[in-house]
Amino acid sequence: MRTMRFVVILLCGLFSVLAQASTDLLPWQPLQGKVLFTQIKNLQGLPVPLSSSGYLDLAAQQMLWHTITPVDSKLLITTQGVSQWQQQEYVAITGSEFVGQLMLAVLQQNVEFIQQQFNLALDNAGCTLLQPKQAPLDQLFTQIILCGETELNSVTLQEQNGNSTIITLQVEAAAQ
Amino acid sequence: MSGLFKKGYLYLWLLAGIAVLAYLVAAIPSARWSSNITAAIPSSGIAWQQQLMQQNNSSRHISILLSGTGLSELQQAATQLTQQPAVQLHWLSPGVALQQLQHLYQQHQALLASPEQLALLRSRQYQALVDAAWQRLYSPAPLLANALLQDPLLLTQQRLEQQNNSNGLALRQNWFELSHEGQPAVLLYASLAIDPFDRNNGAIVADALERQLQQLQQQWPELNIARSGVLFHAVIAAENASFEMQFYGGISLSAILLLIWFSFASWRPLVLALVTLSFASAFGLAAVLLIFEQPHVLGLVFATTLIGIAIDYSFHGILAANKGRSAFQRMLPSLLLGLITTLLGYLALMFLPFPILNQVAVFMGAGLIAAFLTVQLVFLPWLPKRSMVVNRYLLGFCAVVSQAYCRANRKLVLITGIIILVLVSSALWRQIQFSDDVRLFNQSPAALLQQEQLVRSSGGQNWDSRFIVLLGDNTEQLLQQELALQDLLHSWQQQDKLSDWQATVQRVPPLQLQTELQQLLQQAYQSESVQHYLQTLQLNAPALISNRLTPDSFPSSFMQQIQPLNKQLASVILLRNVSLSASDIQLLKQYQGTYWLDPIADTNTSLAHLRNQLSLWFAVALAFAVMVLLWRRGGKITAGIVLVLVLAISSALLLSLQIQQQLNIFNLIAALLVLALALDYGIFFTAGLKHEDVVQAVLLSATTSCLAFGLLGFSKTPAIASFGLTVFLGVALACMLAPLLSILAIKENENNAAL
Repeated sequence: MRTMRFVVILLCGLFSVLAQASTDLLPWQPLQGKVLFTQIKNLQGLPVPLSSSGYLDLAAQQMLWHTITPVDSKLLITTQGVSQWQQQEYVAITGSEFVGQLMLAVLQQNVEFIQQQFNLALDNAGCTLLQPKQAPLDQLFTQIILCGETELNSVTLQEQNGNSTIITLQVEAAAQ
Repeated sequence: MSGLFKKGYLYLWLLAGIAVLAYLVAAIPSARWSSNITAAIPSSGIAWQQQLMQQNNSSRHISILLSGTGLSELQQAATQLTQQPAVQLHWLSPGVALQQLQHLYQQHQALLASPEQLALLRSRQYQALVDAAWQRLYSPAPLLANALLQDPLLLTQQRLEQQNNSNGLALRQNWFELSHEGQPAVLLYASLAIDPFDRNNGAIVADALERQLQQLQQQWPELNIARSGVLFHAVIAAENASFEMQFYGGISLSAILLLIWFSFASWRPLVLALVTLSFASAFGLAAVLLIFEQPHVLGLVFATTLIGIAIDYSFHGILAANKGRSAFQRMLPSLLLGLITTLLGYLALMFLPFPILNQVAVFMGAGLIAAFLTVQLVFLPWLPKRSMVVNRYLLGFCAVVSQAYCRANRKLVLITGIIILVLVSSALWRQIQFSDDVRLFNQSPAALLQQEQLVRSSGGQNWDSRFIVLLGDNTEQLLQQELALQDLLHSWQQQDKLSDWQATVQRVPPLQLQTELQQLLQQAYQSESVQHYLQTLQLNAPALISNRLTPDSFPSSFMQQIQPLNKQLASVILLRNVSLSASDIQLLKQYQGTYWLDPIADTNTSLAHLRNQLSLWFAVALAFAVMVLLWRRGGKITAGIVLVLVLAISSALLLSLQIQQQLNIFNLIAALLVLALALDYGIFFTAGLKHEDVVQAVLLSATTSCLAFGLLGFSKTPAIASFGLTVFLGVALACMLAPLLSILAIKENENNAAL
């Protein structure tokens, strides 16, 4: 009986440590409302990086990705996937379901999703490295890097094909 | 010498019986029984359509929907299920398949474009393409490798992203995830390596899968498991048919044996009846196994009725043999005439384009001939004269019944019969309504249908049963034909006449179109707007690509909609939520080698056609019977027998109509059988035999027939239930009406022999 109690206490302790570790690696508050972003895409074969900026409008279940410069374009990102604003309607992009889930989970700090899909680690710069555990994310990304002190302020997506995207975030109130 | 000669026949017959039994012992374990409904029903007349339907492999797919618990439990259950060893079943990995497809397109970028992109290229509206490319470039979603180098306008990338996704199903490596009524669910697909209609193999696979599903259920009690696929329905149909065959056959046999014991209280008639039934069943089954490669289990359920008819022969034989050789010899010609008329009825089924009825006809034909020969050769030597006593209550009852019938006024009977016939026939004519629905053949349990519906509504396997087929000499021709059809399909989609379609050309454009796309792109790269776009990105315009995307490049699982058909190829275009009018379908005829296929409607039409054929056969069989009767019995008796037959059959059909609301082809098949059985009664009642004896034999025969067929009325299969009900009513009515024929026969018989 005593041994049993000891095992239970040990297991509880272990879970608590693990949970604490996850919280330490994902210390940011979920982003809400308007967030300004700058995106820099480095694409294989492209001599110059592609830079764009605009704002994100984050709600509970969805996010509007509004690029203002250099082109005006809108994307609606939900857990169902990414939809592009075309001819007065959002048209779903096939195969973007996981990207949609990923973006929402990262920005809204969906710890359960992140832990389910990624192995978490800290890099030398104090950023959190997310390494995909399984398909299809491991076929798309080598790793995702989340940085920021109190707030998440940069997300780097490193793709399997050598492309990478750095998204810098700034909550609008802070920007003002 | 004559006695020895006859004994020789008897031993020869017994030897034949033993040989057939030995054949069955060897053949039954390896027999391949089918439960395929499409193989059992009449097929449409066009050969290539039949071949296409036979090759259709959608029946080899199953889907399992897991729900009721949290997503992580569902994932664990799905992982466990897909990782367990499966018998002849292969779990599909949609994530892997998509990966293969993306890899393929990655190597063939700038060879696939959407119709809208092509239209823009053809009309040189390049700016719209440039704008779309910029938009896509600035999206955070990943791009195909080397997309910008091979296809800077990202046409292939965008084309792939435009293809309809799987109804809100989120793709995972080995399954799809979805939200069903706000709850998470996991949808798994598997393909079968066996024909699900093959009874033995189908049952093995279904049992193994069911055990695995039950394990999951035990592990996660809240888990809801919904099954979809032909396998589940086919296995249940086969189990039902097998159960009904054994259950109804067993009850019929037990009741018959009890009736024999009650009537004769002697082991001899029991043994004789058993020998007759065993010989009849053995010869019938052997004939079916010899002639048909894969007999249908449903045919055997119909064939249990053999017991009901073969036992009639036993009763006539037992009663006659008990009275001595001369009585037996006088009875035999009538029995032979009865056999001939019954065989004629079944012969009609033999020539119908209806596999299951052909099998029933062969079974019954061989079985009845065997029953007749058994009676003829075995009964007299094995049942000495007056070796048994008929139950006195039965005798008394038959005597009373016989006297009552014989006292009837001939004129009154005739007039009443004609009036009732007119009333019944006119009521039947006014109310008659037929249903030619293929679903009569099978009725899956409500719970399974509910599961099937749940899986379909969740997005699994919801293509319509109707589809478009294109015929061509080669793949390139087929792809071009499909391409030509895309505009029409698109316009139907815009008019809400269909929600979606799936054609091979959406995956692989014809070579001609790929070459045109390359040429159009080269023109576009030289244009001012695209040049500016390329310069901004500091990219060079790609050179003309010489490699092409061909169907051979794809894994075979992606090319299943194209199938070989003799010297041609057929391409199937699948449709979703389709509601086309006849004029819409007519439009398809404007496209070369394009056909609309509606297998269910075609089968229903075939059933309606078959019903008409059967009605014709019915009239022919009746006319033939009338001719034989005219030859053997004379005009008045023939008229009397026909009156009884038509009255019994039309009344049985009218009552069946009242009970079922609609008649179907199986009521007509039953009517044909009633004709054969009731003719037997008519023949015996007009054969000049002792009325009381005939009442005994017919009463016992009719009771057993009513038992055998009446029980079928309780079958779960609507087709069998309809058949059983009408035969039961027809036989009961014929049994009640036939004794009246004796009144007509008295004078006529003076001029005719026993036959």
